[in-house]
Amino acid sequence: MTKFFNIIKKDIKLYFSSPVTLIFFIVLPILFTSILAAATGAFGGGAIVLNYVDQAQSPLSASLLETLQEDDTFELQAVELAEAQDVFAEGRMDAYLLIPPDFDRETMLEGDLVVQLYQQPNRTTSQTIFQELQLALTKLTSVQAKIDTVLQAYQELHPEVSAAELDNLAEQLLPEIQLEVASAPARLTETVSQSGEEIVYDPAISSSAGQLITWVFMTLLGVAGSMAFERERGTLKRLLVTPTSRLTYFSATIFGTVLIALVQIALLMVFGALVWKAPWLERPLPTALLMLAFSFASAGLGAFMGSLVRTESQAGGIGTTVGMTFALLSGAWFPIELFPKVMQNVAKIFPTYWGMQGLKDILISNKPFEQIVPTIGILLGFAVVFLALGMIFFKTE
Amino acid sequence: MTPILQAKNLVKKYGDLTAVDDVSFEIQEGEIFSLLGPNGAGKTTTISMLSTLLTPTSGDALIDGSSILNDNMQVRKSIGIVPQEIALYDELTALENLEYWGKLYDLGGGELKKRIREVLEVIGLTDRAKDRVKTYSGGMKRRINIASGLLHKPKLLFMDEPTVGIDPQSRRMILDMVKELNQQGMAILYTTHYMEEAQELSDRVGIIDHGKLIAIGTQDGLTQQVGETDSIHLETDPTDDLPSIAAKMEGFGEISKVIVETDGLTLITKDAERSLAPIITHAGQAGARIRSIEIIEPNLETVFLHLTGRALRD
Amino acid sequence: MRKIWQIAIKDLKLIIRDPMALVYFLLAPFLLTLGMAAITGAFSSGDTGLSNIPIVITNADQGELGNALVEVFQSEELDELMNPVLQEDFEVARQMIDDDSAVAALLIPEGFSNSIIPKEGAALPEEVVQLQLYSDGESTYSVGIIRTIIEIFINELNSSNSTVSIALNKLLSENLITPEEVPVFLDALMPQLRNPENDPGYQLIVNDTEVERQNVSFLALIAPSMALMFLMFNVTSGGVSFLLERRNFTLQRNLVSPTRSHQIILGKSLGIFLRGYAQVLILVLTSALLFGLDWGNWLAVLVLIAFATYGALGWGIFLTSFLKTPSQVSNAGTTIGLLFGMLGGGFLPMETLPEWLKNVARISPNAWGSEGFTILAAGGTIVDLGTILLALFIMGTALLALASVFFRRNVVQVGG
Repeated sequence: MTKFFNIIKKDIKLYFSSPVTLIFFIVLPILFTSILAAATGAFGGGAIVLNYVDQAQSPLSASLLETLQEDDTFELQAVELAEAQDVFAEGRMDAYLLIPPDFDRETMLEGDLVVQLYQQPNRTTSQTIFQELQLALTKLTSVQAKIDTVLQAYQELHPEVSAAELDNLAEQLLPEIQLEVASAPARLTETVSQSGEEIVYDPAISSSAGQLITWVFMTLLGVAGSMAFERERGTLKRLLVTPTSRLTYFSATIFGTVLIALVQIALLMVFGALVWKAPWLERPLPTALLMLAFSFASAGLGAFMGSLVRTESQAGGIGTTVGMTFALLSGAWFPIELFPKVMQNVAKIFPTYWGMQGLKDILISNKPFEQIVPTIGILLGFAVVFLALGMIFFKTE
Repeated sequence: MTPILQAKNLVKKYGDLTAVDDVSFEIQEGEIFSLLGPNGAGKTTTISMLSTLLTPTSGDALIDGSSILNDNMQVRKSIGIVPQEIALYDELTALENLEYWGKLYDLGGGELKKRIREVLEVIGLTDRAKDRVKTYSGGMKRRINIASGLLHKPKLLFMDEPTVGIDPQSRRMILDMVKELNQQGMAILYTTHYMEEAQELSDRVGIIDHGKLIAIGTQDGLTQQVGETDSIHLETDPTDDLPSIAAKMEGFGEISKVIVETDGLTLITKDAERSLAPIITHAGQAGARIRSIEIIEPNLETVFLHLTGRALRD
Repeated sequence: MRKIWQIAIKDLKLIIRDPMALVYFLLAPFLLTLGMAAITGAFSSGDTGLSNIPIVITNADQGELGNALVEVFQSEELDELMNPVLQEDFEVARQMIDDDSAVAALLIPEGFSNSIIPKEGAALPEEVVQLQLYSDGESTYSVGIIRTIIEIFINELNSSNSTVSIALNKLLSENLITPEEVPVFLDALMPQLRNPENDPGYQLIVNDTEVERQNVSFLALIAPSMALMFLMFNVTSGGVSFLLERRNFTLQRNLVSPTRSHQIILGKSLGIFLRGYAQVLILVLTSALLFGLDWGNWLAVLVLIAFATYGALGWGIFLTSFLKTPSQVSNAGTTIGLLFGMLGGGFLPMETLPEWLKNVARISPNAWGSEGFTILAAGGTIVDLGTILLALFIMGTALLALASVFFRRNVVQVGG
């Protein structure tokens, strides 16, 4: 056991021997989360930026925009048509809404109201924009449309009524009906799975969970680097000719890095909780257990890689590649629900996926602990498999 | 005859530290000159200045008539260098390394090919030339390291401790190669901290310590400087109180110097054979329990010992 | 010039001999681009991120409105988007959400229809019967869409109801219709109102044909940014090779050969430039061949790669010039590479960055480069790249000039 701690102590000393380490340890993760947050407007409620060109400038177009703004789905941004067309053609704009010049009450009364939406293919928010737009337009026009239908039916019954009379009727009815619709009782209640109460979902939590997983994963893959480092220096050989077993070496190296990672996790979580009000500290026990299991799984993968690579620079290169690819594919950067189904299933082979899922289950869905246990189990399974693979492929030089 | 190298009052300072302190010497054409001194004496710094890698704080040197300060491109053309480290690209083959370095010395075409063939023959690695350097043993890397400095037939070759850390066989081969190159007329500046190598190779030797050139001359000349002095090494029991014994030996008979070493004492005296018996008796009385006795004829080691009061390798 | 070329060629050989370098500089960006493409569905047929959203519906109402709502989810319009499953027991439905086999469970409670349209003769109940949605907190986007669809339905319902009742009252109160006429009137009206094919009162046109043709895919956006991010890694690691040569003493050996130090610096920089150029070019070519990505005017693409590489080279050499050890340079390189990568649209479209960050991003060759690539992909030519090329040229030159100040002191002058 003394040997075990001796190795851990050495690893930790080596790790923190360079101040540059701190960049990857804490500065970059925070910087990245902040930029992502700023970019996605996440901490303001996760609004989707919707560019619009309002050629009508009519009361009706104003009320459409107002309706769109009502719920916090969109952040509206006015643009010039020429600019919108250019930027959109270059693919640098996801979508824009074109409200044509004749978007006004008269056109609505004639039933010829047209709005144009331009969307890039393969954009994650396409459907959301489309459906929300339909909702807003429905809210705006449905009462008028219904009045038209009712009056039409009335006209069929009483063909003698003049058009002017009908128009007059319609005008009187509209505000009254609109008022009534607006005050209609809520017909939909929503509960979010497990929590039993409606929680306000904040994509920032998801995105900072993703960043946390990414950076901690990179730290943990560092096991490969430290193994390669020792192999290159010859200190690995020296260590293995001392009466120290391979298992001791392996597990101590893993433990050392796990300890480092846990410190990193703790720092990032405390920071996140304080600065971004992320719910990291709300369920400390399940969170701690999950992150521990995740750490062992990832460090195990690191040890496996460390067994295969020869030099520290190889370890660094492969580490970054694997780290980023895994993080990307397991939904740490983009919500996994937006992935094609195949990719959602492929993601399950990555430990980062389970880390991500676990964090979301604990902190967003508020699932009871029994339901987190399988995730923890899977992560520990990864750890065992990787450790075994590492031991099998391990070579001293 | 003009010397191929004239170093004049070379000084290199790093802040307060003087790494090379007023070093002057000459090397004649076709001569092997050794700089002998312990690790950290300033040998590599001296070579770095002479090979234009470092600018001296003061002083100058002329190599084949060109100043290292003003005409370093001309200097670089006349010298070859074999650095202490294996300065090669591991991922390239020996052949590619040689081609690369040769081209930097303005060789090319058929001439380069011919020279590469020749040096490969000299170092005996023709068979392995197409293998990557990283697959070589330490000794083989050393030989390619040397070959890379020979391609352009320099008039003066700097060899900085070329035998550090290699097996006796490769070492033998390198020493023989140095002699052969010299026979072909190449002047060589050889640095080492192995007394035996300096002794075997050199026409003249400069002894350097703490940045100062403390003695210079032929081997005979240097040993004569020490005079008729021999040294007697007494190996004593490890528990003996060496400093107190040393104090008692000081000034006894014709002893001119007493040096305390880890395993015993070294005494510098005239005519060791005659004075051996009384010295041993006196040492016994002083409390020394002698394990073995060795009389060392004057050599470069003795010279160094005499001049600095320390052994070469400590 | 010949020596500069020699040194550059040597550096290129060295990198080709190092299989890990190839993995890092070619395979990694390729894999990441591929990953991006895979998760954004560039390889699947559907052209939206979301499709076949699994929803479980429990229709305990079985009335007119409940059925109508179920029909909405089963409609042809939502065929691709929704994958509705009916489940009689709402408890079972909820369980499916907890098991992650669907994203939301919708309960249409018993009496939902009657609470809005009372049975004949019965009064409208006091109590409001609400639809219940039980949703998965993690699938925000999917649940959001489901919620919106239900809201559209409810909104339509409310406006129909209110319109009918208020209009009817109005007609009656103003004696425009007699109570006897009401049943006939309603019989004629109701089918009209319920007719889903009835004009919704507006028309939402998505992407007219002209736009469809241009079709700049997400992959086309991400691929150049990825290439540029790894270009930054590449050039900084080229900078590292300077310092490694010093550590391995080959730099000293170069310096004592009759080669001027500026030739060595230029030669190595040229080597770094060439490897960077080759990397981007290979990525461009493979993505064009494998995924049919259209990068636009080839001549302009080649020129743009050269200028972007030059700008990146400036950063790489600049970092090398004042940092002391290879590991410092490679850490700084990774850090800056990642940051620039993010600012240059490697992880998310640059347009989503706030204005001030877009301005910050201008210090990176990535931002300029990816802007250039998008211009070319959208059919631009070299003429449209004027500002971008100029910016990259100034960036590279300024950084190289700065670097040369530090360089002689820090890298070429060798201590000890």
